Amino acid sequence: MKKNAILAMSTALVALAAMPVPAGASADKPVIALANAYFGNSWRHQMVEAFQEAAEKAKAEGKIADFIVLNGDGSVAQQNSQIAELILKKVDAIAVDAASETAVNGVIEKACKAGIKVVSFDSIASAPCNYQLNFDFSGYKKEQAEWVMKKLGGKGNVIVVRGVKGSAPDHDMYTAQESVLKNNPDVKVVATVYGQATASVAQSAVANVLPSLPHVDAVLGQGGSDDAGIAQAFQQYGGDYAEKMPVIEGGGSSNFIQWWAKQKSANGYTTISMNTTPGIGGAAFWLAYELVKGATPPKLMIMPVAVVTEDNLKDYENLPAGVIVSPTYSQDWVSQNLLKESSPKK
Amino acid sequence: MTGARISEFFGLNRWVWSLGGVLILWAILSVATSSFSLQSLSGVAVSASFLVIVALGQMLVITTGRGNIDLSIAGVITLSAFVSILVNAQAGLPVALVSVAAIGIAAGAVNAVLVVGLGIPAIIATLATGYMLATASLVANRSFAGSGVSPVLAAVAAGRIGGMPVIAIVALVVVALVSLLLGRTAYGRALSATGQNARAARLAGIRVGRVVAATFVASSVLAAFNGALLGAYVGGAFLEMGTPYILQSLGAVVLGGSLIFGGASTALGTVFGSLLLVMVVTTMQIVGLPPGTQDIVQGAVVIAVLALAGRSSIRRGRVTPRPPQPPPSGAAERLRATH
Amino acid sequence: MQVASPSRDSSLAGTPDRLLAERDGRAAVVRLSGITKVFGPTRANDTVDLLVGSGDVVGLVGGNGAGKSTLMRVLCGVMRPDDGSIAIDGLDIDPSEYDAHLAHKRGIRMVHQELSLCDNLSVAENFFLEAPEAARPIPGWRRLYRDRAHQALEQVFPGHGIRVDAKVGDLPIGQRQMVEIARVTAAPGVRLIVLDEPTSSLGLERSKQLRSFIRDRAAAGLAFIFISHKLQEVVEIVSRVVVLRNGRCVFSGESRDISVSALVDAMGGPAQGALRDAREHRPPIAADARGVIRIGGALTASLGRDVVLRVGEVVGLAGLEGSGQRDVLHRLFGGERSAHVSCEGRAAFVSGDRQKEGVFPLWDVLANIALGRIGDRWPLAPVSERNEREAALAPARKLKLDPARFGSPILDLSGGNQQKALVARALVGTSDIILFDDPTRGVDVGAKADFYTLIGDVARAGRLVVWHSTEDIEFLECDRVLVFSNGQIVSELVGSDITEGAIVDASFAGREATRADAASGGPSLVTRLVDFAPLLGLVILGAVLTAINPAALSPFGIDLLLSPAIALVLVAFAQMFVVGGSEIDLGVGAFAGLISVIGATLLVDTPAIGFLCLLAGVAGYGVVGALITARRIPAIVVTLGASFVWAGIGYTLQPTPGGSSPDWLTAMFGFDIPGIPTSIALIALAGAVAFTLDRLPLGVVLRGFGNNPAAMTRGGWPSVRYSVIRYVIAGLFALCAGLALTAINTASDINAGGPFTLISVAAVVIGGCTLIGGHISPLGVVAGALILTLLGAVLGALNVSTDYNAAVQGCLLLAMLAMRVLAGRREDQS
Repeated sequence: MKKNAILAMSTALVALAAMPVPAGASADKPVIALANAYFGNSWRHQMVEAFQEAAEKAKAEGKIADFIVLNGDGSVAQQNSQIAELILKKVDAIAVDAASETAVNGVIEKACKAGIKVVSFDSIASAPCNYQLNFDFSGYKKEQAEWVMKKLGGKGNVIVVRGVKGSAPDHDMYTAQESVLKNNPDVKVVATVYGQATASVAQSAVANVLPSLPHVDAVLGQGGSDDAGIAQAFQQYGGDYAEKMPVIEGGGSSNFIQWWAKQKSANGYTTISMNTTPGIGGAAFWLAYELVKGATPPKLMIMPVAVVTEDNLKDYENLPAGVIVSPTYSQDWVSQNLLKESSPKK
Repeated sequence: MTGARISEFFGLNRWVWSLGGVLILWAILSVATSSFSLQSLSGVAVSASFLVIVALGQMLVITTGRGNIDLSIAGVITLSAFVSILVNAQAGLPVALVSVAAIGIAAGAVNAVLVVGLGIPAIIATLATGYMLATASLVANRSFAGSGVSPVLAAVAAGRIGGMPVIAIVALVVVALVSLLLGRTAYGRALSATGQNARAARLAGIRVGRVVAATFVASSVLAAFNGALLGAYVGGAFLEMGTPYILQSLGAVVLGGSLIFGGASTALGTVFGSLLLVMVVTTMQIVGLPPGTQDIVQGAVVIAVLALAGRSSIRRGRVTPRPPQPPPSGAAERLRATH
Repeated sequence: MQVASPSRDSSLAGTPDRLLAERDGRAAVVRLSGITKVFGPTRANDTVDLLVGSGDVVGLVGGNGAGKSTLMRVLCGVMRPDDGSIAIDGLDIDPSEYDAHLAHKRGIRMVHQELSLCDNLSVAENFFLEAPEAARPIPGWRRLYRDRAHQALEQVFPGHGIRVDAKVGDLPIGQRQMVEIARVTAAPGVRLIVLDEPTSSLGLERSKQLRSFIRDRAAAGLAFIFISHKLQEVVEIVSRVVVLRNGRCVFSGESRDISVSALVDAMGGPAQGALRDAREHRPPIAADARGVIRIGGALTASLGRDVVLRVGEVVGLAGLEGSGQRDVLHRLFGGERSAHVSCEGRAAFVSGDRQKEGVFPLWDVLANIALGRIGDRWPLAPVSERNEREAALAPARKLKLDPARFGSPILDLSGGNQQKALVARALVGTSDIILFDDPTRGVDVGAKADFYTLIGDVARAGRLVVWHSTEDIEFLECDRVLVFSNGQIVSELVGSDITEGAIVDASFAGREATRADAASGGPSLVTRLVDFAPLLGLVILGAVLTAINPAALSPFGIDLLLSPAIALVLVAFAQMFVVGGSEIDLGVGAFAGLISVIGATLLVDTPAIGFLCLLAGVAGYGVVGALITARRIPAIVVTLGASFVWAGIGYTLQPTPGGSSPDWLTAMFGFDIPGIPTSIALIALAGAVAFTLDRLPLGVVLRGFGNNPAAMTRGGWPSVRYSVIRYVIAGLFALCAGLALTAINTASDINAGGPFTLISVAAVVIGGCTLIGGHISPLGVVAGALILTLLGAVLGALNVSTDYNAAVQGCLLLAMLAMRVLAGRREDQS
């Protein structure tokens, strides 16, 4: 998730490998790199961990020569510099969680020209030469919003909490939610705020507007732990909501899930949680590896999202705090689901 | 004559403008949400309280004049939030509070050394300090687990007493203390003197260097405690947490009527300025302005207020000319008539 | 010509001049008749007549507060008189139309006491600012002005030894004054030159040269008005003398008919006698009075013994300006305890330069007075208005300052009353010593008399009063006078020995040898090295990078490394031009982002509208500039607000990153020169443009405004117009940056621009530009931008986590600044 860094770090450019330039970066034992634009929230932490786990395993099994992980500060400049660094280091493949859909295209094109396989994931880049491993933001958000509309019976007041201002995922998700809302004319949007996909920002934004609003029946969010923040805001406000919380869309954070579980046992509260999975880090690793090995998947591949409903809630109740719901994706999973033509079902 | 009296009142009590703005916005808000109540303000009050605490520190720094400004508050807030939660999880609240205070004092001291000792312009000095704090936050972020908020702090930050947010009470207490400091202590006088004319202040026996240094420390300490409370309020810390506070604290100070050139500050004005800013944002969200337009409005408001108030907020001396004197510009010329 | 006694009314003063002019048949260059100017209770000028004919050298003489500078302000069009008429070359001019610009055009020039040179520019460039008509924006345009400068200096001060390409800031004060004078005399079409205390910083030899120059030029028809309090000098140089006192002209006649003592009588009158009486009627100092100041060592070498100043005394520090009195005064204030100056006990300071060193303009009178007690109190000690009022009453009464005025804003008071408030401030404190630095400047006679009586009382009541004055006559009321010359005390006069003659004699005592002017020096080697630091840093970084990975030096590698720098360099140039005006632009990054968005959306879909929007954007930047200067709003807040406006517009145009780059734009930024990496070519191009702009006459004017806007406006340069030009230039560079972003990324993202803002400030500072004072360096900025760009690369090469990038950047910034400070190029001027 991208952030507008006012204390942007220097437009550093590529540095040279901390580790010695990987020798024999050949197709036999490739060097796979991760260029992650932003490391500032728990989703990203988990994603990078997933990548590292998969890479460690591959290295132990002798499949790759080495792997590199570079985390940026959210700025386009730094990611440009880091990717350029990887090009100069002559790695074989780069998995990119992009700082911007467009602003890193230039350096990605240069990488492709240098013969490096590039796959962008989660926050994808629109450079024509790279592969895209995306979530179906529009699709799952639409599904989730429709579930909420049904729960409301087609009428009520909702707050829409958006994500990272100006980012592609935010735009896609918001457009999807808007189209669902249009189909439900008796549902009124009483406030639209930006939660920046972060608990604290979401909490603050919702708390700001809550006192001026009529009774809120549901909250549409975008995930990334904004769900926990939204719940906190209502919890702190108290009032009418103490007994009956509005239907808050879950974004997969374990804090929210646990709160949900407590609410359920207290008064039968129910909602639905769908989230993009940080496990994509591991999937991206294996995909990059397969690309170096000569696979030719479709240019755009879609990852599934994790869904938590009333039915499987108890499976997730005991997750540690501060974790996002996510399965781990293995090499086999990637071969079977991504390298084929059709997009996968859950 | 009443006309002259009124404009004199406005000139001497510049905070009246921002209060007016607050009332106007409150009216708009009430009309837009069809509920005219004190309740409308309470949510805004919480955000404004956090802003006020920081804006007061910024106000003090700006009052020292010579273009002094504190851009490092963002870094202080963020780092304090991280540290307060991390340390509290390990060692409990008192130690956490001490560490937070230490951050504030250290950051302020560094700023002071750079600005007072080395004569580096405050913009650059605090910018550089901010960079270093950003790095510290990044390092702290790596080991950040996400829990460990002290329940006491959470109660202060997020609790309510009889419907009134505790943080608002805290903010008001801070405002009162700062007002007292400015108006009734030797430091307050020394501060205003330094901002108006540092050379004259030095020649009048004021230890200008110490005053400026103390002010930077005060600003950082306020920001540090704000960071700790903010972290407790949102139940966590995240990078760039403090960033929005830079423009907002500047805006609050300026809209509240403190002179950007230094020498005159009004704590009450800063309160209303903060309230005004937060209300502008909230109103826009509720009215449903598209986000781009919201940004434009925020920027335009600050510029417009400055442009309109420009003349009277910069002019030094009496607002209304006293007959049969020449217009106020003559005062400056008179001062310059040395022969 | 009889000497008019003070009781004669001023109407007689006009007659001789008219007769003179008619007799000689010369037309008056300037005739001021009946000039009256009133400030509240003070009549600064009271029906003053002044006639200056071609070839006249008129000496304008008078004590402090006599009205000389007001009259000159009227003459130069800076101030409008309340009454009276002005005629130039025999033609009457409407006083309401007369302004500085017109005066300038008619050939009236003034050399002020506060220098109006821009010290970030060279001597030749300062000459250009004075007479810009001959400048053309072509290479070598400075040659004309170098010649002019050299010629002018030679004419006035033969053998001056000043390098005309030296920055004025590097010249010692005496040479600066020489340049200032020469500049004015060389102005084409100059008819009348007003010299205000021109020899205050000149050595003996230079003063002589100036005098002979004046004589020569006067003979050729140029008119001069010579203002000085060095009466000896006046009598020697001028052909006619005009004496002002209390705003009125009390004497006007040929200089050969008057002597110094007669002038003194005309100027000072009763005050002289009163001063002597005051001293004589004072009770003697107690024999066992405590000595609180000891001056010895190097300062009293010529005197031969130490000097001890005791409580109860009034001691004067006399001598020519710049002989060391002020320096000693400040050392005493600083509480120095050395072999040369030893001060026991605390000192309070009362300055005559009320605006710069005394008054707090936002406060009322009481607060100004009460500050005297704040300095030594504990910071959290409470202050209450009641206590302050009580404490201030006694001193106010002593000074005959009406307590009813305690609540008035201090600026409402007359000069004399303001000074009284400042003295009251010193009196409310508990210091043993009060230091006065020329306190009767601009104070009317009535208030002056009050001072003199007070000083003695204050001293005898138990304090030591040390009094520095630029009017020798004031020393008559001191118990002792220490006369300074050449930085030392050369004479001590006690009691009735104190006369103006004795003081003057002693002042010139140590000056037998002609004092050589201090070498014009120039920046030292250390400073030069520091100036080159950005380039050195860049080379070092490049070397480190290449050492670790030779691939970095290949064209491909360089292009890769430097391509992000293109946009940064352009934004940094935009920032540089704003910083050159001593302002900061916090919205430049957002503006670049907006342009980038326009480029990727409108410019592609509807090019015509796109271009219009680009133009509108640059125009908007110009409006920002106009707003800042015309409404005098601080740039930092306006541009910060503007950044939100730019970002908001950009966001409205394009909520999500996307768009595409027009083909012609991509081609513009993607051309291929064989052998040269594209990014280097683009950066070099940008650098060349910025460098050229800066070196053009336009660039000099912009930098001049950044250094001394008051002088520029006085010299007739329109400040708002040039502010708009400055911001339009910045806007154009930012525009190029935005278009570069679009071309290189083939798309746009409104969020991508913001971070550039603060980095551009860092680049500018690292590159050697000062944030105040108008020192900028295009090459340095390129180096700064490239250093920042490569910094991350090098850190990565050294295996440092990217988390630390920010800290390193901050430290680098500070290191650069600290280096400059320690090498003597301080940013702030106090």
